Parts: sequence; C-alpha cells; structure tokens
Amino acid sequence: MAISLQKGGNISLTKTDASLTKMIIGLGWDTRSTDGQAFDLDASAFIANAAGKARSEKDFIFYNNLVNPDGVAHTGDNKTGDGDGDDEQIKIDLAKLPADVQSVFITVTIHEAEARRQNFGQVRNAFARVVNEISNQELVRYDLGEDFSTETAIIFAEIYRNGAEWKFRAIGQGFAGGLGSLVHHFGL
Amino acid sequence: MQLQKGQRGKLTELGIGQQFVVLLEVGQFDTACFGVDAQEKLSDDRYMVFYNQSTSPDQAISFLNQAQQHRYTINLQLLNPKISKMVFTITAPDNQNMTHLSSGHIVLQQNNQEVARYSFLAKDFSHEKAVMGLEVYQKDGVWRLHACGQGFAGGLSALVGHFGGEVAPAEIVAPVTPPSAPVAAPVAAPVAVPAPKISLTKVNLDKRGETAKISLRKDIANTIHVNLNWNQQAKRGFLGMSTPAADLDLGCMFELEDGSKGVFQALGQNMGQKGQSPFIYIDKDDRTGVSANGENLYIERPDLIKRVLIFTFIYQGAKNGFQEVEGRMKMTDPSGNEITLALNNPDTKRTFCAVAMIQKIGGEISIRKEELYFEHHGTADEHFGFGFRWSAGSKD
Repeated sequence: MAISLQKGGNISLTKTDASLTKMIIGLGWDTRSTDGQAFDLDASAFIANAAGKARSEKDFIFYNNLVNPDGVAHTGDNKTGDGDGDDEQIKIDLAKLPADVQSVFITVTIHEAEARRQNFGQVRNAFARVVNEISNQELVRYDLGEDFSTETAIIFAEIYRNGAEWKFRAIGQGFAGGLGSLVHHFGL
Repeated sequence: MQLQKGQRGKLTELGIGQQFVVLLEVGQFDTACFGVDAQEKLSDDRYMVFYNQSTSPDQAISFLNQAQQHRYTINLQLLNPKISKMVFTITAPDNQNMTHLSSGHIVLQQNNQEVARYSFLAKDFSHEKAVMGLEVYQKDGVWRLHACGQGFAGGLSALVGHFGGEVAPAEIVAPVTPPSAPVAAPVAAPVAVPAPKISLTKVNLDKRGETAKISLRKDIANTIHVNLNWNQQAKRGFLGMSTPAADLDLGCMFELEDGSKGVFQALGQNMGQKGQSPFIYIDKDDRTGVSANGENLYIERPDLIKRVLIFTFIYQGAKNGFQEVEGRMKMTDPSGNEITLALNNPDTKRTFCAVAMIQKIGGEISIRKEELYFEHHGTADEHFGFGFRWSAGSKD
C-alpha cells in the first residue's frame, strides 16, 4: 500500500523500502474529454546541486534530451495523455547519482500552453508516483488535486538526499511561464 | 474578481456562502445547469435545470430568464447531497457555434453584489456548439468553482452524453400484434394461423426522445387516436370570483408523403373531416375540459403521412401553465397499445407544447415523445421546420 502525500509532505524512500536502488517516477493526467486543441503535457527532470541549480544543460532531462549519464532517463514523450496509468516516466538509478547531486526535481509542463490557451486548471487527475523499478512496488503517490488553476508549469516533486537516505517531497509549486520559467528557475 | 479560463478556487475565498446567484449573459444562446453526482453523471434528469424545467426537485437550483440574463439561484443548503457538481452550460442555436457569440459573461453574485466574473470571447472557442462554462463543485467537503470554458462540437447531445445521458433516444418497441386470425375460415387452412395475441401493453413515454413503434398493417383499420384531457379549472377565486375555465386545444401540423402540408386545430375552426383527405380530423373543441373524453384527434390513414406533429396549447385560463391543469395525452393504436404522457411543465410563459412527432419510417409508424414547450405556434414551427405562416387568432 503506497503512501499518499499531500502538498508539502515528505517521506523517506530509503526507510519505506530499504531495497530501493532504481526507481521509476510515473506521471499521469487525464486527457480532455471535450473538443478543441489537444493537451500535450511533458514531464521533465532537473538534476540539482546543493544550491538547487542544474550543474549543466545535461542536467535538464526532457523530450529533447532523454538520457543523462548520471543515472536519470526519460522513457519518451507521450503527446496525447491517452491510456491508463503513467503517461510519462522518468527513471532514476540512485547508485549512479554523483555526490554533488543533492536533488532531482520532477516537473510537468503544458506544451504550447500560451498558444493553446491552456493551463493546469483544465488538467484533471494529475499525479506523480514513485515505483521501485526492481520490485515494481509503488512506494508513494502524490495527487495534484485542486491546487492549481492558471499555472502552466509545475514542480511536482523532489527526490533528495538527507544524509545517507533518499527522500521524496510533494512540492506542487506552480509557475505561469511554462517550461521556460522552470529552466530559468534551475539556473539554465 | 475576473476569472480566467481554467481557473479554480474555493467559494469561501471569493466570499461566497451557501446562497448565491449565477448569471449567464449569453445573448440568444440557451443555458442549462446540470446537477451531477460524484461520478459526474446526470443520474437524475430532474437535476437538469433549464427553461423547460426551471427548478430542481430539492428547490436548490432555480432558473429565471430575465431580460437576456439567465439567472440561476443556488442554495447549497437545500441541495441533495448526491449532487456534487453543478455545471452551467451554454448551447448555441441551430446552425451556429460558440464563435458566433461575440462575448459572454458568467457572473457570480452574492446579495446582489458581483463577486466574480468569467468573460469569454468568440476567439476563445473554435467550433464548439455546447460549452461547460462554469462548474461549482464539492471536493473534500469544500465547494469550489472552475472556469471551465470547454465544450463539444456535437452540441447539446454531446454534452448530455458527457454527463451519461441518453444521446440516442432509447426505443421502446411496443409489442406488435400479429394479424388477426379469420373468424371462420371458409376453406380449411392448410397452415394453422397463430392465435391472435391482443396486447394490452401500456407504453408510457416518460422521457423526451423516447419512441414507440406501431406496425403499419393493411389488414385492419389503422386509425391512430390521440386524446387530450385536462382538469377543469373550477376553483373559486378571491371574493368568490371564478377564474376562467382552462381551455386547452389539441392540434397538429402535418406533412403528407405527397408533400402537402397543413395545420388542424380548433382555433379558426380548421379541424378536418372524417373520411376526407388528408384523413386527419379533430372531433370537437372542448372549451372547458368538462367533456369526459376531452378532445380527440384521429389519423385515419397513417400510411399517407410523412410526419404529424401533435401539439396542444393553452388557449385561455390555466395562468400557471400546463402543470396546473394536469394535461395528459393518450394515444391509442389499432392494436390497443396505449401510449400515455403527462404534460407537466411549470413554465407559465411557454403555453404551447409540441407533444409528440408521429413519423412514417419504412413500414412503421414511430411515435416519439417531444414534449418541448414553446411560447407560441411560430417558435415551435421554427424548431420543427414545417414552414407555415402564423398570425394571431381568436375563437370569439
């Protein structure tokens, strides 16, 4: 039984599952049931140092840079949000993350939100969950809920070091400027 | 406060309490409020509040059309706990879509003060014919709103389908009686004729869009009989003055296979004649409802028709609309199948009811319940597209 977190909540992944070395961050949302321009949501990851900044452009893992040699990989762009379960996934191999990595931030943005006049208020049932890739056990889940309205980019969650353990924090911080504002936020 | 498309928020954050008003300013476009359950389904269609059904059964949602403002008064305290979301929708007239509405506004009012406004322009939409404008919903015990602004190109039927309603009309097929056996066969029939089954099935067309079918057989008299009845208004008014008796009229707009069209109704004494083309007639004009068998319309040759719209309207009396006089209509086919419907719209302004459409489709006659209320003959005709010219008339 996975633990469900509220916005701002955190949990020790290491304590929840001592065997955890490789994980999948699954992100999902519901495709629109109405007519009009399709929603294309994109999951991305930002590897950050202790200052909360990306070390280089390679630390920004997204649809045009799917794999980072330090252990973070995006499984590929889903352009429609169709299907049950995870719409996009990011895999993290904790053992490969170098010592100067403090956190991996997981974000979701709306592609061409401004042109399509879309925002997170129109996205339904968005969630992030952490799955142990080896045991396939779901460890924690964060449902976005009703906290967002006009934002077009969201820092969903953070996987971070706390001494020897890895923790997960449900952040849920929104930005109005799409993916660009996140890139700027992480110092790129 | 100006709401943007997609914006969500708690009602309390806007200072909105348990009672408030949602005003839709959308020109000539129609609106409705769908009260849906936790699964977002319209599990009880009495919670679709609009001009034809102006109040929800719990009185929590009521509709008033006032000077181009569609005014929905909401009382959350009265609301059936099964209803967890109210969706205020906008529907474009025929041959138009949302881009034909240059601008529209949804205004939330508390104590006659505007507290929030969601405005939209034609360019916010593409070709949607029906749009969910505003949602007021309960999540984790807290009432919230969502400026939705999304919709369907398929119009009202797509919207109703979205809420789990019936898009395609459900068909109730009345059992068809097999040909009756000859009373006494002059020659011994080589094959036994199945015994006739007299069907006494009563078919109630309760929902708009439901249809029943009648087989068009040549071997029996095929007259379709439509009967209208209502309660006489005999109550004594204030100071013993009697209110005028309610006078309901039964009539039809018809179009035959050969292309000829016409209207029969008591008004103007144009009632048709038995045994004469077009083989549709009304028996009498019951001015008061005292006649035990009401008013009757007969279609003697249903095989000749293309379509016949059965209507009724309140000629006088019944100030409070159809509901007051408990109008009821019964249609009987030659096999004895009865199709009944109650006319119970409470809207006092719409005194014309398009009751049912009888259509010939293939070798069958289908009767479809319309029960659409209009202000007068002309607006009904516009809807059904017979294309008559109308002028005011009087019996006196």
